[in-house]
Amino acid sequence: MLWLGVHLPAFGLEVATGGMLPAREKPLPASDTDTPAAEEQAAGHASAQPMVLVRDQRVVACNDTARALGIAPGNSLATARSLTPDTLRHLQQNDERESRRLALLADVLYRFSAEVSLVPPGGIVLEVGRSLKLFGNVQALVDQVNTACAELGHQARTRPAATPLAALALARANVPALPQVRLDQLALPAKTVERLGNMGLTTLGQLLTLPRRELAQRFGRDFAAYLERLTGERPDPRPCIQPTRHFAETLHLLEPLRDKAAVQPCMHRLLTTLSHWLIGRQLGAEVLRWTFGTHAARSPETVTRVSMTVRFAQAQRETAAFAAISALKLSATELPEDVLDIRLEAQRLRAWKDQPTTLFPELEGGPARGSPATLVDQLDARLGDGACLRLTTLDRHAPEQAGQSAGLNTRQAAAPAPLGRRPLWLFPAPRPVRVDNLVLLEGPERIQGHWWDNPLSRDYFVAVHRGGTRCWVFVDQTGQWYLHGYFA
Amino acid sequence: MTITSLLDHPDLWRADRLYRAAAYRGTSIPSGFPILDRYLPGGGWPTGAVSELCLAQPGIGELQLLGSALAQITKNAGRWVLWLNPPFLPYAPGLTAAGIDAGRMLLVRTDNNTRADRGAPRQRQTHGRRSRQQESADDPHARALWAAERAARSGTCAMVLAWLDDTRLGQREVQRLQVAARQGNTLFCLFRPLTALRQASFASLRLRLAAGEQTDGRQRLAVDIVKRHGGWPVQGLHLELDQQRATRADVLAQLAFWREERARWLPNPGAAWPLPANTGSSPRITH
Repeated sequence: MLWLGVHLPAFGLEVATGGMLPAREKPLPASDTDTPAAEEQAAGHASAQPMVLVRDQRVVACNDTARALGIAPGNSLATARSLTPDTLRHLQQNDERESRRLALLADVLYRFSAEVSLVPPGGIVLEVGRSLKLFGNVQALVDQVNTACAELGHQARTRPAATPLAALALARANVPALPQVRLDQLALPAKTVERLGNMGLTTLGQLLTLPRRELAQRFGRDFAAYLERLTGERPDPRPCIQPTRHFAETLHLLEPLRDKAAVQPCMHRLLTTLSHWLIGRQLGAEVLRWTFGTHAARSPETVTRVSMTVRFAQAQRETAAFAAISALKLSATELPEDVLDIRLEAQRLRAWKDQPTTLFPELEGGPARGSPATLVDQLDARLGDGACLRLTTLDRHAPEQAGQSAGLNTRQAAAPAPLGRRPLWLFPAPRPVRVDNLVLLEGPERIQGHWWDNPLSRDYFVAVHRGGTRCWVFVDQTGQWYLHGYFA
Repeated sequence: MTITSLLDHPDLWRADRLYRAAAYRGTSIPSGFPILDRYLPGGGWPTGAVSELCLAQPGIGELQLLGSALAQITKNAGRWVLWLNPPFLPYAPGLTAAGIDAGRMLLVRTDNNTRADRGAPRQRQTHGRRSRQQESADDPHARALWAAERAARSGTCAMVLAWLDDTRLGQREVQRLQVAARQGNTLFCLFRPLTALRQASFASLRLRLAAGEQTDGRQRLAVDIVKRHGGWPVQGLHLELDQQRATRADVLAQLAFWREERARWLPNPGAAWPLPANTGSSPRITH
């Protein structure tokens, strides 16, 4: 058994900001524009604004800028405000959002291991002993986990160890070996840590050399059990997450976005999450449903939702493929107001079949030549659904029904070849024609039928028009001549 | 190195002859008409380039001119053909009868303005800064050009047949299409009216099509090569498009039978005879 402990040091703040701190092009509203920090942020340094995460008027976490200004977790909000007069931004801790986010992250890390369990707040352990063969070695796996977390907007520290608690402790303390872990970095009650400190014990190495039984007498059974689980002397079964079967994720933005260009990075973030989620389940998505929560600048209370559905001719799972078509679709969609939150839902999930489109792609014109599905997706996204059609043949008497254009998903039915000649151009509706411009060349071919809905009785001829075109004409029962197609 | 080997170098163009097929840089698809192939660079329709087909009206045989290429691409190579805004419906039974796989056709219409699932109804106040792309997204011509370029560049369609708004089609657009077709190695056929020949174009091949003489009932197409790579213009090519299946006597007999039959069934057969009278000496086939 080898466990990977993933510790997310800035999890609370990352969740509160949505992991996205968009670089704004125009200055903020007047209340916080007149300080250097805000200007710096406007120039693209998103982390320059001091930010604290607050719970019950107490600072729970703060970012680097805030820390540099002297704010520390445990301070009251009033203290923090007094340290940073104007620029402080405080965000309320949202437990529900945090637990949802941690579950999603664990769901994404399901890609690397079948046994993933949550250690809230901001911790995940994975059993990776059985994944090593697939991913090569521990370091490769650690790198991939860190990369996946970074792509999802989370800073992560990952450490391997023999037990889940040890892996978590190493990740939290950011040290290579267990004896170097400081006791205040373990998930122990503060009172216990204090008592141990009074005894002169500050690191785990010092603690582990002491006899276990005496420690249990002094600090209680739970403490001893904790140490036994930490060192692997006692089993530590953990509930594993059940992988979710549907993907729906919402990104809440701190500042409303007014520009489509600014929306794109947020969409990219969601798509990356989706891509990891799909790869972990060997699935591909055929339909993406975007919902943009917007509000008008004048009335921030009323939130309107704008939906956008992106369809793919073939199930996809790569971020790039999703992003390209979604961007096209976005350019054809109007976002009326400021965007507050973005929701992505994946629908019509299909088992992923990874098959090359051609056997020898190099010989057939290089990698640029994909399947037509990609082109169809692009055209549909930009031109609107129903822009792409295919030609179908049906076994019908009426010529206008025998060959039609229909949607791409229409099933192609085999139809017997007609007896007479058929033109290459067909008019959508027959046009009345003056017969003295025509000279008949072949015919007649009588087409009669459809007594059940719209009876037709036509005698078709091949004729040449005075202008030189080769026409397909017919005369109906009233003696009126019609032009129905061209032998182009 | 002798002077003859220098003269045979593919980069050296000599006015008295075309690029030979072996020396031609690009690839080509035979047109199925030996007379035409002799004059086309590389012996066929040039792939990776724009070919302009200028014709006064549709229906004179422009699709049959491309029929062999369409059949080769769809039936033999199993590749896709994209039709962009054709003036009429390409009729699948007719295509099948010509040996073309109609299941490999992709029909794209940019003129219908059904922008589905727009989500919210159009509102007066638009989103912040309305981008330029958004402005042009509503213009059908811009959308058609975009689709044409995208289709040509993607390389997924071996052949693109495009009908664009010619009054707004300038040299720069054709040049862009030419570049896109080269990138995607696409045989790009651009159908234009005859008036387009008045202005120069970046297309590799420009043809003027007209209905040929049809006195004996055979469909012919008169082709003038207005521009081709590595050669002078050629005028007055006459292509036989199809063979008349029935002889004149057969047709007359059939028509006579039809007239009798029709007179028996229809209430007012008189209305059905506005056909031109048979002048006897005229080669027209009438009754």
